[in-house]
Amino acid sequence: MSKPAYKVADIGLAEWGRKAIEIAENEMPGLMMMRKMYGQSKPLQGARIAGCLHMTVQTAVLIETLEALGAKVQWSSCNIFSTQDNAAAAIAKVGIPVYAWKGETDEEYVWCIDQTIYFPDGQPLNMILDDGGDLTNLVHEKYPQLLAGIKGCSEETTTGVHNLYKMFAAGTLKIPAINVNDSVTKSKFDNLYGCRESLVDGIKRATDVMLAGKVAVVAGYGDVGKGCAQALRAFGARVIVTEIDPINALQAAMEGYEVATLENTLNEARIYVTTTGCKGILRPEHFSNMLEDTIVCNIGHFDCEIDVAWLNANCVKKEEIKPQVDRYTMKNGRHLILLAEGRLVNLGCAHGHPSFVMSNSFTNQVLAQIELWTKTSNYKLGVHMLPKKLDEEVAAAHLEHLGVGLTKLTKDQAEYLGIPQNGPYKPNHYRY
Amino acid sequence: MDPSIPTNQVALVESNSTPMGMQLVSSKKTNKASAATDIVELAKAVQKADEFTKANAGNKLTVIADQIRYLQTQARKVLEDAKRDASLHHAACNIVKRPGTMYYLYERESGQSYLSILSPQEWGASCPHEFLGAFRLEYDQSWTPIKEVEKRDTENAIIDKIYNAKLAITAGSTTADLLGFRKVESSSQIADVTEVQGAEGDS
Repeated sequence: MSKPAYKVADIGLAEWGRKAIEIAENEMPGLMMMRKMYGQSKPLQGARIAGCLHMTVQTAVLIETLEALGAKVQWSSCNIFSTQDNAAAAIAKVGIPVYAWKGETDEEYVWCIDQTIYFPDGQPLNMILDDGGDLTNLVHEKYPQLLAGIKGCSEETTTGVHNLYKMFAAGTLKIPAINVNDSVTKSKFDNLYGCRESLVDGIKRATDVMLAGKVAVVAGYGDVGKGCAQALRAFGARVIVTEIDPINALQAAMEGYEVATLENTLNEARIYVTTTGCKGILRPEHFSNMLEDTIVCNIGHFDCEIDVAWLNANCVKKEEIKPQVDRYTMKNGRHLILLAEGRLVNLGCAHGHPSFVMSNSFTNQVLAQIELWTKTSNYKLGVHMLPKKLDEEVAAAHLEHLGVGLTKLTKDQAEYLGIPQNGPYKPNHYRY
Repeated sequence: MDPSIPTNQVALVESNSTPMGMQLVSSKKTNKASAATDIVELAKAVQKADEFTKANAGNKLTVIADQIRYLQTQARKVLEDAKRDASLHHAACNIVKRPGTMYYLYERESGQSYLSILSPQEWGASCPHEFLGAFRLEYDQSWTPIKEVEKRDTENAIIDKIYNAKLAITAGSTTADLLGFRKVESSSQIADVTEVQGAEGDS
């Protein structure tokens, strides 16, 4: 049997999905700008892009942008639970082959990716857009004969980028790749500004707790930690930061945050947020000494920051207050409230990143696809970054929507600084 | 005389030698059967009646027995369906199930069975687990096996037809009308009121 034209949970959700997509479009000015700039010239004409990235409303806007630029697109989700079924239905409804639903099994997940390799006309993919590396790996392992026809791959996230560098080092990477994750307008923006909005959203949806006046501890002061600390402070919480890196610790102190070790916060903090990307941050000795009904959550990428296994094994009682909110009774009689089982609280208890911040990431994706497709000879086998100029272009595409008035560098000033009048304005090592 | 008919089963009305206070000369004579066949005729009639009664009762009982058997099968089917529905609802499943959708039951190597929206045809040759059956979730949360789906659809279509016909009859009526709270037309009510007022003014 030939493959189905699409596979989604319920095609009847398409109309609802379309409404959500329309609202998201206005909040994704970068992608809409790409449609305006390249909608006529269609630089992606001839590209057959297989995409594997959370099938959400925001991704739907990305998919339709790629199509508007001339590409043929097929899609699967890069997580078995992250698909928004209404968005998937809306995409299927307009005839784009999409294979994604919320709650796939692991085997179905691979089946979905597999459906995106060959297009309805029988032709195989010639471009990859990936998040996490599973599609890239599947093509390398199962369809090595197709690699020669693939012009390149753009990768969305840290995990996938690690995988690419590892493959390249081992000599197993067979296609040029662009690391979208490390564009300034990607990681700097969704880590900092995305988490700054979604952390408190998650805590409030889960607990309705009053933040003003409370002592909140943010473990880690990287981009995510900076966003979290700022958001909590904006609500009137008194924020304490913990850090292992003296530079970040000094940054936090200079911003006016108290910096302390976790042990010294236990008798006053009511809220703990881990953002470190490291393991074993909140441990048994901490849990036992926390105040009554202290709220504990994580917004770092992996779920190893809070020792949830110990809590489960050593509590007297664990009650689910509602999905993603658990109240533990400890042996000393005190309680502790854990959000999202120690996984990403902004995904578990809220809706993750808002459309606007995803527009930054996805505009990078679109530009990476155009680069790999139209300037193939510029990208030899390896893992590349998007040129600084394009990073600046992504940011520029979002200014008009916000009513930003950008000052123009004069020719004279440009000569004085020794940089091109139209950018790139910063060297690659600049830290922003 | 037919010896096969036991004439002693014939019950005659008791005799009376002084009916209505009048002494009969010879009740034996009066009561003597005129012919030997008389009693046999009577006995035959009784026997026939017996047979008919038995046959009639038998017929009626057969119907009841049939009904009992039918009800027993129905009861068994209800219980079996309930058991199947419950076990399908409890099968492992990562998706929120939607009524009207066909689900496919598979068994993993571990023995765990789970529901999926992917059919064995969609899986094709790469199907990783044993396919056990396909069921459609109905709006009453029951499950219809795939081979009975057509039958169920036909039934639903008939019900739809009846339901829609009923709706057509009552179309245009308000809820209040349908529920028997007859709505008084406002214009006539006003007219009534003025009439009453006029009447009062006159008096």
